[in-house]
Amino acid sequence: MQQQRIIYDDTTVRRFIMASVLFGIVGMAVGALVASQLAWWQANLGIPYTTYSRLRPLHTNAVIFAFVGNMMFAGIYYSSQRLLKTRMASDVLSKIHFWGWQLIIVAAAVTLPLGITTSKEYAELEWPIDLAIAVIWVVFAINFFWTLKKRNEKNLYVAIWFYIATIVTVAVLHIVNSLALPFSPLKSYSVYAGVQDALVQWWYGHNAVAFFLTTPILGIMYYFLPKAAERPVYSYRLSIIHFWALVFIYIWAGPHHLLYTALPDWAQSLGMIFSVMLWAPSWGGMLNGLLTLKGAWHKLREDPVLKFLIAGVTFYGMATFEGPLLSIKSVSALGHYTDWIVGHVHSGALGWNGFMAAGMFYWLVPRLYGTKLHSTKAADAHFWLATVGILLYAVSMWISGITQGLMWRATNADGTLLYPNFVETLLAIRPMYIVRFTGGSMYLVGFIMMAWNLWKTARAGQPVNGEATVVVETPAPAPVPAATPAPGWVQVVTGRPLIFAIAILTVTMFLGWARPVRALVLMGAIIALGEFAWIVTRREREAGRPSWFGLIEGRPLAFTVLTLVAILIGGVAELLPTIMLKQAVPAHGEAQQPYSPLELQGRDLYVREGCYTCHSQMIRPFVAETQRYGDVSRAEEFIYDHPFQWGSKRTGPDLHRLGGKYPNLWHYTHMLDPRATSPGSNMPPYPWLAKNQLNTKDAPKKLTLMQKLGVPYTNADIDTAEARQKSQAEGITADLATQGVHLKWDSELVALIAYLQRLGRGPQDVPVQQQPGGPPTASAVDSQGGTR
Amino acid sequence: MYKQFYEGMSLTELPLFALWLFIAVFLGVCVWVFGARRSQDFDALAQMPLSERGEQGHE
Repeated sequence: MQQQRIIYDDTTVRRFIMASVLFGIVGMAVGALVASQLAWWQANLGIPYTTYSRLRPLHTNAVIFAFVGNMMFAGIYYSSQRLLKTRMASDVLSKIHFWGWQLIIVAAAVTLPLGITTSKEYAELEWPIDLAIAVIWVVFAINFFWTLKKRNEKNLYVAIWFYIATIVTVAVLHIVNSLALPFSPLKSYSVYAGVQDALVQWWYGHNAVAFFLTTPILGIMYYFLPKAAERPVYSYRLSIIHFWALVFIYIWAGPHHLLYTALPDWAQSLGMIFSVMLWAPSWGGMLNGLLTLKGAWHKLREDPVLKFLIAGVTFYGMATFEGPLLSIKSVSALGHYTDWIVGHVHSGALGWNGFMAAGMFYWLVPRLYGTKLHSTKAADAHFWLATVGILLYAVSMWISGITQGLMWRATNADGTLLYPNFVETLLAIRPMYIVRFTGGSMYLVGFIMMAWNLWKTARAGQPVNGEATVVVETPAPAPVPAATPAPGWVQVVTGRPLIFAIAILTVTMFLGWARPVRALVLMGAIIALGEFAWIVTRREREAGRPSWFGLIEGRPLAFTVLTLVAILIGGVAELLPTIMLKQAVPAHGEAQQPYSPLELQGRDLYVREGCYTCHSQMIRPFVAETQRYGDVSRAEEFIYDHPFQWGSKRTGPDLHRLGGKYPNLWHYTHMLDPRATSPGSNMPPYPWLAKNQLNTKDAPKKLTLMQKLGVPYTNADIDTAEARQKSQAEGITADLATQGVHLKWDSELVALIAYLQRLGRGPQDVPVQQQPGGPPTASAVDSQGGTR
Repeated sequence: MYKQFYEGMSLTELPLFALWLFIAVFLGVCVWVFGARRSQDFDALAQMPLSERGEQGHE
């Protein structure tokens, strides 16, 4: 035995905290701005870079990856070193991780307002930044697992389990969802299309919430709440159940974002069932956190840290009650696409993530600078300001969302829509948008107060790195064993619990093919096997042998593999059948034809401008929706959509069957001045689209890339792409000219109009006839163009 | 009945298998947690965040 002095790397922790606070202010300020834009459209300022649809992805990315990401890293770096009783394995890797992550954030802050986006929610960053994320995440993983390897503590506390699950699962999610073919240094196309793209995206999107915003913060809860309360977690047993149930179930819940869409019904039901099952582990974890304060509730009166942590855990309970509720199909029918979802998300983001961050920062910063918190009163004021802010936000969004849902589906006695004009619903909820802006701004003011308080605290002290002395076993010459024990992995694989579990599972599978009598026998066998397993386990315990789980728990690699298996089971079982579905899609006429070159260019402008942030392209099978928007959307209509554009929110109406609904002039007017065609609309104007010139040379290159992705463009399509593009555009401009509007054929607005006129029907151009002895000309094309 | 159920939903075999697997693992973990280990082990594990009290500079 010898003593070892450890100086922890707290410099990295301090850096991540500073970055989190800074980017938290930026992300929330952008959030307040976009909230104001929904209430007052003039706040869009009429310039591309400050327009709602480009800033909303910046807000979500900044808050998730910059604010919570940096906070999460600070918590992981601080707690892991102490729980593992060792300094982080490599200071260099810690530095690369910190600075690399900040560079990624800056890259996101530059590219998103420029409209450089994949349009996949919370995964909007383009492929070079995606690659950088993967590299930096691997750096973080190496540093973390290397630290695990050199730890001076045999057991892995449950917080470490949550960190392992986070690192492994985020890597899998990011890689699978970001698979894309690059078109240029700043543009790529998803390898998935339509239904598959939607399922993969929301498998990712939901699990970004689960494994980026939840599991690491739960790890932080299991470490910092006992520290702040100065008492151990209420039930360690419950934390184990919490971990495994959460890790396994969460990964399945993604399809609840796609209920009543064109996603196969079985996948929807599966997503719903697993979402409802999430109630149990989530509330188990919440109660475990809350009850940690059992017997010490009086501390809440005095300690702002505990106020934030306990309120944060309470918001976790509220958000994880509301989430499964919204995942029930009949509730989703009302709540999906409405502001209810926005309120739900912000209960989690502001209440759970924001409050846990504040509690952790108020606890950590004084210790990291060897001083006391500058102002407890200011921290208290922050707490109440933020709490009232969240309540205003959440309640206004509940009212707004339920109002929207009810108004959209309201019908007269004769079955016609009671509110046929979409803008009517928008006008009804505008007061709620103002209340939401007020609540969000209050939260932001409280957050800035915290930044000031932490800054004053840091200035009052000096950076202090924690030190600890640990007792380390010195390696002694190993006695020659009488018999060499089996290697650890062999013990794990041949462990009796695993053997029994596989045996029970195998017998269970035969139930599916058994007649009633055989089924009874098989069930008897299952019970007998279970009983036998129980007896064997008891005997082994009495003999003092280590349990099977004990073997896993002490081996980070085995534990990580087991966690990976747990998340992969859900991922593979859910995604694989849908990815294999492609061949099973029935043919359905013209709707399956690929976009014309001009329509494809227009689709990319739709993506660039972020139209999906306010408009869905998915008509659900409800009478009110088919009356308002047209026929129900079908899976086969999206098979060439790389990426899919179903959206998740209807601040504006669904656009899937917009094609042919209005003339070109309506679209032209609407894009330049939305209130000219839709009085009361809060849509921002897009005047730059009429002035910007389309990169017409890109058309054949885009068709070539789509061909590689499986879209059935012929080589002739590629050869004639530029000519077809021009002829279709000239058709639109000619139509506009007859009504006194003169627009260049190669303006971006023409391409966007072509795309919008295509939605829900076949391509609106006519293939160019090859002229003998010369290139194709526009005169060979139907002059009606996109107006048919 | 089971056979018909599976035949009519071929795409769901994989998710159903995974569901059974989940139930088996979940029950196994529950049995292990609540039955097969002494409570003092858990008490010791639960104390881990509190064990570094007295850390210089931070407590």
